[in-house]
Amino acid sequence: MRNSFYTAGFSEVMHEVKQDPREASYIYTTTACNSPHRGLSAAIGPALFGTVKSVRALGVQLADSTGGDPDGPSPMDLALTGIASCGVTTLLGGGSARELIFDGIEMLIEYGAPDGEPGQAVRCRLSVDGVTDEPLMNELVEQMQTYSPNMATMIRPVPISFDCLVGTDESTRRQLTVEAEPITDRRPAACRVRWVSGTQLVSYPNGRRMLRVDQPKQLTGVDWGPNPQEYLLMGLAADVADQLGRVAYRLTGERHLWEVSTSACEDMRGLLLKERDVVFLQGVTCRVVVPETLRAETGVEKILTAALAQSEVRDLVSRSNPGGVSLVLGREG
Amino acid sequence: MELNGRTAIGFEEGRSSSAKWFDDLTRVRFAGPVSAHHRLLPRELSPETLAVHAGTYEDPVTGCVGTPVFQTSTFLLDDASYSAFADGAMRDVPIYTRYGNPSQWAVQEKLAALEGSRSAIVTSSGMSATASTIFALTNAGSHIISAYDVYGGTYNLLREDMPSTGREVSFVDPNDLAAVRAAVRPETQLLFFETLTNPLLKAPPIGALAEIAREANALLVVDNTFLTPVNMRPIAHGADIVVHSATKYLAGHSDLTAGAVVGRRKFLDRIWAQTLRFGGTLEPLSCFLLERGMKTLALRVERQNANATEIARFLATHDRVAAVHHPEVGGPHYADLARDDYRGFGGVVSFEVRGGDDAALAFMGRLKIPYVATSLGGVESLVSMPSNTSHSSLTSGQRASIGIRPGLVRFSVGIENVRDLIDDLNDALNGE
Repeated sequence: MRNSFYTAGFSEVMHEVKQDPREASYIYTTTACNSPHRGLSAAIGPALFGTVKSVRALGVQLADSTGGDPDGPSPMDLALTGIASCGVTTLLGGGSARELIFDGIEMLIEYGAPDGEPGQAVRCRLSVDGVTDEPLMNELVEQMQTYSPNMATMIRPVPISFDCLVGTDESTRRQLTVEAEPITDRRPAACRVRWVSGTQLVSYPNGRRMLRVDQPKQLTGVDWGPNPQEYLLMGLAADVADQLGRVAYRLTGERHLWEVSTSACEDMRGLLLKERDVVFLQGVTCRVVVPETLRAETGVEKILTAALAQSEVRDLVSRSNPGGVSLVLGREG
Repeated sequence: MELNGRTAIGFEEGRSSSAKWFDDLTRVRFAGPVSAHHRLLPRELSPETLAVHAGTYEDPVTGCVGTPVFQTSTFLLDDASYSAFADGAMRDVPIYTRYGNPSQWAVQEKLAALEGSRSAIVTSSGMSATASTIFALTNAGSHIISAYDVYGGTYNLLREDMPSTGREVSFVDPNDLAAVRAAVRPETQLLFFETLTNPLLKAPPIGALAEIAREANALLVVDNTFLTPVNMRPIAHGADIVVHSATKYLAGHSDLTAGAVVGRRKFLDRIWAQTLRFGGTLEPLSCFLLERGMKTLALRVERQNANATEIARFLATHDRVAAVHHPEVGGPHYADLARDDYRGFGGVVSFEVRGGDDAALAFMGRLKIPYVATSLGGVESLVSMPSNTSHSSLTSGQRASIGIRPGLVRFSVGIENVRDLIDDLNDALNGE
């Protein structure tokens, strides 16, 4: 297959989506856990691709803001991996549809770069090897920025619905409102995301453990890793869980088990049929399980409010970040 | 050499060199693969007609009646072949027999038509079909629900290979819908049941199982070996995928080993790719034999339905028989049986000979017409004991728990004269 990319399969999915809109709705679920004993981790849950379920046992152990597992990727690394890998896969798919042969594609994605433009949260540099037609590549990059679901989610403000409940008591469930100033004091993070073959990519967070990205086998991949949407949602869940643990410890002096789950829908009519109104992630939700061990008088509301306000991934998703993508043709370095 | 009309219908329309984005691509997921030379018939035709005519390769060179044997391992490469490689559409061009061959396409189309579906694959055995289907449709991390008395080969696959590949399996009574529903988890991805179980001939409600699967966003795969599409089309009852040991009724002559999978092409393409990697291709001569055998499927199964029913009724009256398992003689397994869902129940009758396994073994040794052999569904009657063949790997306690009691005999009734078979059974039961 050209670029090991299953063009015929994506064509079939596109026509299926055209015929039956129910097949366009891809629903992802992820969880994150901040444990006093096992540190910070994130995992994917069952996903639904139209009417077909995919269940993969994939997760990642993370560095947390209190210094646990320093070699692990950070929550922001997961989010950046999700954004960049979605962009690269979109570019690869679009290029494969045009019958282009790529020798290599790599995207460096940086958050809070010290030498970045003022006000710019994210910048991307895309290196493409094997294709020399610059106008064509510029057109493809434009398409990538417009139709990549995660890049669109980064570029435009995407609402996130937050709620919480105590333990497993459904009667305690309530909505949370986040009123926070834009984060300007960003902790820099960067990932170099490199295409390997087909829908497989690797992400190298600065000096930290490598992450593998792939589509599930229900969607032409081989289950080699979580997919880009799942990385972005794991990043959100993990960052909120990390902030909850950090803020709670600061305010109470106690460590608790924080569990956070996220979900979102990717409407494939955006990517495949160029329906711009639905390219970005839809219905993003984030649910916090408040530890039963946390006493009400310790200021639960204050912890939740501060943690959500200080989550940089939450800020990245919910605000407009119109950072551009610079393109380099030919092998870098 | 110019190659014409050998690609699958829809393949040429799916080639698009002017695409600028996904929405310009023109390949759709359609039926088949089947070429313009294969006979396409409406699924509404009767099984008798479909069994004879559907899928037949109508050779444009010789005009021969009946599908030739395309006995080749490989095919000439041309522009279509290269395009198929580039786009990942190798199932739609004859390239290499492990990928596809007109002999396979012919019998696949016949089976898809009989099951009322649009796509099928044939494999080197029933277990190849089952294994490829289960692996293709589940991920490591998933959960599967099946029956505790499912066919021994399937049970071994589920019990011995699923845990090491990250899949968990729950085994339940297929007739106990509450137990099936209770076994469902968020990770449940696939339900695997048989339309008629081996050897006790339980008939689980396929429509109700399909509903449970749908509510769980899981797929329902059913093994329709014992009923065949002549007696039931499970897809019409909500099943997503049908698998067969084609060695049995479909081929019908105990002269080949084959399997088959039928369903929507969306799933079949993935199962096909898994079969390629497992090396489960059915070679062309067996395809020819299978297709030829299937032409008489409806006739054979109709006779086997009738023979088995008459034999079951005879056995139910014999004082040397402790119990008979067959839907036509009733019993607690069949209290809720929706008889309208079935045209018949196939050729298997299971019964318990008084005196236990030794008495049953001696009884089988006195039979003059049936062969004492494992397998079923052929034109000749076969008789065997589950306790020392298909279910010998179970402990006696496990056998008892699923209802296999001492003296159980599985009789696969062929197409012989039923009076001859009954006389033979009567003599053997009476110790003559």
